[in-house]
Amino acid sequence: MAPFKLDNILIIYPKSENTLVQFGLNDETFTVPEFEIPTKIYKSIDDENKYYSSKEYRTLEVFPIRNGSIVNLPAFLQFLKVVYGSVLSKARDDIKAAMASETYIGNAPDLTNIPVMIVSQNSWSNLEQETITQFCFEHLKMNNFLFVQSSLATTYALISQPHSIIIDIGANHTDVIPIIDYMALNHVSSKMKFGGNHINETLKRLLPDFDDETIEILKKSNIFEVVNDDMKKLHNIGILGGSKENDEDEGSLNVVDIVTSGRDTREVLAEREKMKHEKHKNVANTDLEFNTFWDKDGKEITVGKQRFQGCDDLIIKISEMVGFVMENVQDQTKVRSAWDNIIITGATSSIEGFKEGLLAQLIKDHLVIEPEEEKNKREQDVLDSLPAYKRNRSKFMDSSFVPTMEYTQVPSVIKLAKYPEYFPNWKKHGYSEIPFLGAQIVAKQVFTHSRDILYITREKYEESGPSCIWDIEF
Amino acid sequence: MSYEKNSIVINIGSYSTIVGFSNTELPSCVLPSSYMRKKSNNDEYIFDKYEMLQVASPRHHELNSEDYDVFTLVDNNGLPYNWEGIMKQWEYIFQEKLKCLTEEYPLVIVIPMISKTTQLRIIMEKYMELAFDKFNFPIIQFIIEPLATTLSMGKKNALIIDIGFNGCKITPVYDGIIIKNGITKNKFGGSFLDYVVNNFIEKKLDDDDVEMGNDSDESIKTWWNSNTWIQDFKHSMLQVCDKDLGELERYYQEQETMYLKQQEQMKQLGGTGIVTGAVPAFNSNIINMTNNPLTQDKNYLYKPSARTIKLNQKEILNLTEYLFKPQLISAKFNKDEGLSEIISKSIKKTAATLSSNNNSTKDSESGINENETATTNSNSNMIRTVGASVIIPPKINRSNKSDNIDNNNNKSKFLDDPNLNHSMNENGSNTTTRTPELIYSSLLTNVIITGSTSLILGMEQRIIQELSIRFPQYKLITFANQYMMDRSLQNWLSGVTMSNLPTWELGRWYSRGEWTVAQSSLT
Repeated sequence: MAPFKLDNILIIYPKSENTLVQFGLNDETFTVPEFEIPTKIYKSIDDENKYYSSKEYRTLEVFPIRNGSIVNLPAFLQFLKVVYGSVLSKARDDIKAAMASETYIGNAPDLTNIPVMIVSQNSWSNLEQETITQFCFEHLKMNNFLFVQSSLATTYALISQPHSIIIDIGANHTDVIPIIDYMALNHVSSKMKFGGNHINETLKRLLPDFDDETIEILKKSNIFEVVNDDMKKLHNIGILGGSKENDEDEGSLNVVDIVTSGRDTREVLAEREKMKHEKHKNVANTDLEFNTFWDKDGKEITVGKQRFQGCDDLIIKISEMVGFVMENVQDQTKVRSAWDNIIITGATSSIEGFKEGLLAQLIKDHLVIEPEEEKNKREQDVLDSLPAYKRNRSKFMDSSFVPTMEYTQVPSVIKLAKYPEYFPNWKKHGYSEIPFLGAQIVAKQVFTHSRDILYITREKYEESGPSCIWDIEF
Repeated sequence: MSYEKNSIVINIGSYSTIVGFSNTELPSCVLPSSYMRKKSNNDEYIFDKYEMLQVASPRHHELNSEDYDVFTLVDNNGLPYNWEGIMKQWEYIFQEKLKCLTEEYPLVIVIPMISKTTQLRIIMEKYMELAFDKFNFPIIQFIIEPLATTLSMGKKNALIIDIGFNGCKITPVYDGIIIKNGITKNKFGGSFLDYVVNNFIEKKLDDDDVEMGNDSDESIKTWWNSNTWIQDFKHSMLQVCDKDLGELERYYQEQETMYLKQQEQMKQLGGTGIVTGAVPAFNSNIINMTNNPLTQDKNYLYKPSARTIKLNQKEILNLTEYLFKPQLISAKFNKDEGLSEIISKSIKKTAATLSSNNNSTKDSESGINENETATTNSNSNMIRTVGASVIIPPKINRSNKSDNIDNNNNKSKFLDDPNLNHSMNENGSNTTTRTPELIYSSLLTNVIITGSTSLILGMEQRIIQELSIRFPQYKLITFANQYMMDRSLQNWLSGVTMSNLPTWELGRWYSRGEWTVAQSSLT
């Protein structure tokens, strides 16, 4: 079969709260998802099998996905139908409008052959995935279809090594999934019962006078950050990239950024000047004892250092879990390189300092290096053994004359994976929805490939039924 | 005729329970073969390994380890005994993990080799009760681990060395049949190593005056240790010496004395002033060459109290040496129980069994099984199989009645197996010439090494070395899956392969109908 046109590819990424949808991929670059719609549907109270896309008389609101898992499969299928139907009708209207205008040239796009990719979660059971496949082929009459698991999509977005650790933080759950040899090891991955909402609980303990709404506003405000002593220590020794502010940005000019951003160069330069100016005027949030934010009524509220501590407990819990999970992967060389490639996704990860804070905790909990106490003692011993005249001089030398301790255990390095720089739209948008970028990359590769080996075609479906999805291990 | 079937495959191993569908390459979930239960509320269970770890963690959590007890599903021989626990675990698996309707899937249970037929029958019946009465599975098949491993690798002869959590088990398979007389085992496996490592590190820390771990409940503490830092130690530090450690030590000692002697001679020569100048360089060379690799230090970071522990190579190799020479750790262990001893015993016993059968009953058509039972004098004492799947053994009355009478007495339908004669004839048909040499060589060229504990660095080389000393005139070929994950899942993966055979007739399936008929006829 001939490869598909990029314009026709449909990607759906259903999450607990919202579903990201995009119809048609851009030729040159990957853009952020076109639509974000709430993952909910309305079910008729009187008729079990009747669903509506919007609130009607005597309907119940149903959320088919909770904590990443499908909790109501029939409702989810109806939701998919609504999404697919709306995309198709919108596309048809667009075409009509375009054809009507006089400037339209070229052929009408074909709406009968739309390849669909659904980004799945590791907690979706085999049966659920088979049922969705069946629904797509038999009910929605799709002809070409593919699931890609969000954790795998994430690694494709980062064009990373075969081994990595995915930490996906949702509202009420956190998934820790090891990827080894490009395979998501779902059977050793963990689903924790804590997520972004755990931050609210912590904050409520720290700030008992605040109500739930104010806490949510504080969490989403720009003065809410993760700052702790471990991070400061790592900043000092350069693991977290020098001192906190992006010094390099100030001096040097990233020409590539300006060119790819597609904006007027003068405008960008003017903005830089302005930012520099403001920076000198304002003291950084982290240097302030107190800072303020506005609640929903526009009232100014002052908050102390608690605004840096809201994530601490969650971070500690996640870090411990990552350790548990990675101990269950046997191959030490692969585990070693997975620790080199930690990917943190989910909305919570976009909190200022969160990733760095989690990295600092992971390093503190799991990095195999000589304990500080022992190292100091060893240095002292070396110093003591030196003759007196050398001792004074040694004080001014750095401690590198003491050989470093070598361990065979892993991990000896813990690093975050490097995020792609070459998708300007995504760079601006942030990377908390990075599985979607991965899905775009995979969809482009798979559906424009000259052979139809990596997705389910109608023929394959007719031949072996819904379980054919397991023959295509992506 | 070919069927499209997708079964649920379960393997309750001695360490972990692996469950998944037969149409996928990886299992859906891997749980410990143990669980936690709340002391105050007997209905609150934890099966997820990570939740259990959170409970056991000395870190402050909402969950407190003192409120829980740890239970196992299998006994020290790796056989299931805690049926209540297994039922609860399965409930959890089908509802939370697989999320499927059990009445829609065939069930395949991968079980270890059970030599005692009465025991095998009891376990199979227990499983059927659970699968048919509780979970409404339509049909069920039992697959024997070593046979599945052999057949799924396309072999009919093999010597399976399974080094698991509860010990090592050597199972010879010849012409697609397990030679029961040749099975040997010991109790020195992963769990034993946990104990050895724990004692060793405890002693090391004692020397440094450091307190060990937390004070929580003993069973939970042991469980926690073996699933955290001991596991880390096993993965990253443990190594098996490629030859007998004692011999290696003697070799290095001899080298050392030899070089020391040479050095002395050189000194004397130097003293006479003949080779001045060249001596210092030569001396430093000697020091390098006598540097015994066994005395080289390695560092281990003991995370619970953030201490570096220094171990030398000899100490590390010594820990796994106990697998081969258990007598070294305590006099109460017999040296015959060492891994290499039980391997060679298995080979010799297999050869003896098969060749004696050969001589005594040339006229027998049905081969080893029948012959073997001839020696044990009871037809019911053999494991009958179709491919890798087991046929339920007949129930034995206390009086030594023959099978047929027994059968009639119990009216158990499971005994009348139409497949039986057919399969045995097929299996035993090409058994005309079986010299011990032939048996030795077909086993030794098909040595399969499996089990999670076999993943320790150097294990395969050592087994080769030990076998080549004991059977120097034979060619040796070993098979050990180089993908570590696949090797730890091997029993399950073999079960998947065997349940995906092209026709149903290649395995023995039991239906719920058969089960209910047999049950009702009993009552």
